Amino acid sequence: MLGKYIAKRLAHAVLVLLAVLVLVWFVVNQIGDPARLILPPSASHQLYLDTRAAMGLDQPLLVQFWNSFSGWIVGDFGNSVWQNVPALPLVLGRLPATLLLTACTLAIAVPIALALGVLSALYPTSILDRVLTTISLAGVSIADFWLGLMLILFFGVQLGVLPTSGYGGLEYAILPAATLAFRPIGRLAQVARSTLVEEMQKPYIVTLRAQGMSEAKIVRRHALKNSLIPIITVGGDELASFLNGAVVIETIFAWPGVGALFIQAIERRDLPLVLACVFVIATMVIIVNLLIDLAYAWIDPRASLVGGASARRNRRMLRRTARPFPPKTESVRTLGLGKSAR
Amino acid sequence: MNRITAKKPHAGIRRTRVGVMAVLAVAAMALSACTGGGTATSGDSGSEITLALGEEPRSLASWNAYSNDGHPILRNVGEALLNRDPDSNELVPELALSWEQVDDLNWQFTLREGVKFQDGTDFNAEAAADALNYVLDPENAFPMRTFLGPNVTASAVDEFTLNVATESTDPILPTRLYFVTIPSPTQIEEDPEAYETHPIGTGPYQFVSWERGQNIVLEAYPDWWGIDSDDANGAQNVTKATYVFRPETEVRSSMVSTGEADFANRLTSDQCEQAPKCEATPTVETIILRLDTPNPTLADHRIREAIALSFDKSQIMNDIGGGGETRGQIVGPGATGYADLEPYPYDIEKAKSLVEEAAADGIDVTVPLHVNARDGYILRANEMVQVIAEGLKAIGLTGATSGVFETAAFEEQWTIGYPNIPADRGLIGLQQHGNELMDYSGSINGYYSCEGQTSAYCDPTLETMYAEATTASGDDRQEKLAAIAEYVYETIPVVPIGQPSFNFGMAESIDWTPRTDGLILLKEMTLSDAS
Repeated sequence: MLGKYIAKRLAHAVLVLLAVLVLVWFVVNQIGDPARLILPPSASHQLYLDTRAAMGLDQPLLVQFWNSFSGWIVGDFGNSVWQNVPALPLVLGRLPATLLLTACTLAIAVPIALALGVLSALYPTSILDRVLTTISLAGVSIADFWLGLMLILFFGVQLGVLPTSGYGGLEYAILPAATLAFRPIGRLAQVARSTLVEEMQKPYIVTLRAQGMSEAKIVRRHALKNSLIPIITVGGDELASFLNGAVVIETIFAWPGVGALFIQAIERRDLPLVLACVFVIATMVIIVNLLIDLAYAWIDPRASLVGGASARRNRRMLRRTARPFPPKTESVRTLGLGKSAR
Repeated sequence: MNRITAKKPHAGIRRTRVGVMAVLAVAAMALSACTGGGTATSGDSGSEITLALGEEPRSLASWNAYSNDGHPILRNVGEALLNRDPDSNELVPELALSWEQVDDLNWQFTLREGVKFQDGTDFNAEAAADALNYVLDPENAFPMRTFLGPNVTASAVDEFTLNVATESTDPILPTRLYFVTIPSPTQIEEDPEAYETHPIGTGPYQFVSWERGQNIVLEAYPDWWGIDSDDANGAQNVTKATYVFRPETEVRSSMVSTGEADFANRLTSDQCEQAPKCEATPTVETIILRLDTPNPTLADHRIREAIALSFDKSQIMNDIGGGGETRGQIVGPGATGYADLEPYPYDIEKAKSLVEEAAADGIDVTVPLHVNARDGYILRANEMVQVIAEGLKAIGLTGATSGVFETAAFEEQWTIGYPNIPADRGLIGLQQHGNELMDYSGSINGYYSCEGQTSAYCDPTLETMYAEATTASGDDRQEKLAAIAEYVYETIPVVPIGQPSFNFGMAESIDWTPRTDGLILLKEMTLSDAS
């Protein structure tokens, strides 16, 4: 049954990919002329016309579209008009760097965010909670390009302990990953805190306390697991955004990821390269979404993937509860009930 | 009963523990992997150097050897028929030992003997003709053709005499051919796809590798003809060069300061001074303000003059920009046709009175005028256009606004050609123009002629002057082009502001003097501690 579900999702994904590619093809076609951007400003009109002809831009729009579309079916997006080599391998060549940066960022962000979130949730409204909340909000708010340059100046130039930029050994990933980690630390810590505070007010926690279980065990074995759905949803959202490419950070640190290439392709109206980037990024986002849905079912059996309409309703409900700052559904009065029950 | 507590307690606890441990283990592994390196070093030793450049080449084909992204690498791999003397800027032999114009349409070049391409192909007139004809073929439409006239064809006269024919008289053909490096004809014939990614020329350095988005490596070519020649204008003091690409000037500057790189180009003057060694040179680029003369307000000469007087050029170049020389002409002293004109003065009172005078004659001085620039091309362009727009408001052009546009959006405003400029547009474009040809005709063609793609001006008198100048040569050419410079200085379709300096940060061990044409030739570098 699980295999059937995955096959169905993948078939749907193919349709989504095609629709996105068609939309992007027509939009990019309308927003600029790549021939103008390739040539020096002083190029003659005749050279401009020759260049358009060499790029196939002198053909009718539908002919151009069909030429492009028939290539997509076999995974051929044509040559980049900017770099004059096949577009898809260019993008795939950037993928390992993007995946490495994403992995390092999450490896830094997730443990720190969970630690901050749990500590805040265990001592809600305390000074510690306020300090940690301020730190996490600062993480969400800080401008990453400024932070990146400051980290370069401090760790790269002043201390000289890390390379300022580039892509080589894994030590090159530390500064860009640390810069990128600030935002997910802030978001995930806020979500972890909110959901855990909510969870800790539920009757079953009161029962566990009544049974004499320590707070640490309650959090570790029960409350945290039941809080994971919103955390995974927001984490998945962050993951998808990193796979889209961290454009500014990739530019500052000269990190050869997909994001910077995508922006360069858009700036140069390089349609084949834009399409190849869209294809790779959309595929990764689809995979991440599928993995998140599978994770829901693994964490909470109520979100069964194969259970028809009611299961779909449950999954939708779970996603809705995964907002970064969900409203408190358990009121103080409920807490009071819990106390009386104890 | 709660679902969780209803489960087998030990199994649940075990699974949770295993899950937590797995997450921690993965995080620990990833973090330890991320911290697995050591202190940053350039990794260079002896005569190997690392150069941090602002742009990665879009292509390593020889046709890209003209561009800012291409020439720093490609001019070390490939050679042209001629080069320029770095001091005098005169054309000097490279692959051609001598050249002469045999008639109005034909030039002949006597080629150097004993030269081999890096793939072993012999260099001779036939090889040069095949390669040039490929690069300049209209069907290939390589951007390099921008610098050549239409339908330039090459042919071998004998083994070492090359004939280059033009469709019309071109007295500066050798100057134009200075741009065109000669690729291996064997590669073009047998492996044309590699032409874009694996350059093969006759130069002092051969291509080793290109990791896109990361680096390009060159190493000394052991069979370079210049090793045993006394007119090679350089030597292979650098044995290996690794080019890395850092778009942020701050990062390039930091790399030189920390020793991660030995050389960085296009720094600001402040960053350059912080480097172990700083070299700067005037460039072939000029920052200009181009006025939409089809606009009824900008068509008035008094308004154009007022604009030219309304802002401080030195402030733009030195306080806001990265430093440079103010100019009264769109080209600098090294170019044929330079007329040594004073920059337009900063005279706000006169500018105000000119605007008032024009307004009194019925010119609408409140129309929208857009001071726009291209983002990321001119250093601090955003601040520059704001200062200029405020200057315009101060002299009474109250509709002035400023804006910065990404490349494509700006080019769509900039390169539409004079006939297509809407009369109500009122664009005052801030742009940096490069005259790599070092001949004023290249700027006139682009910015002052009715046919120029980047021109916002059309003047029959100038067209006549230009037609006469393009066929002239020597002193006559200099005089005629300089006369055009003086003419447009009076008519003011373009306000030249100044020529920014190229600032290079270097390690102490590198001894190198930058060239006005901007080429970064490894053969001109010496290393004081080279092993």
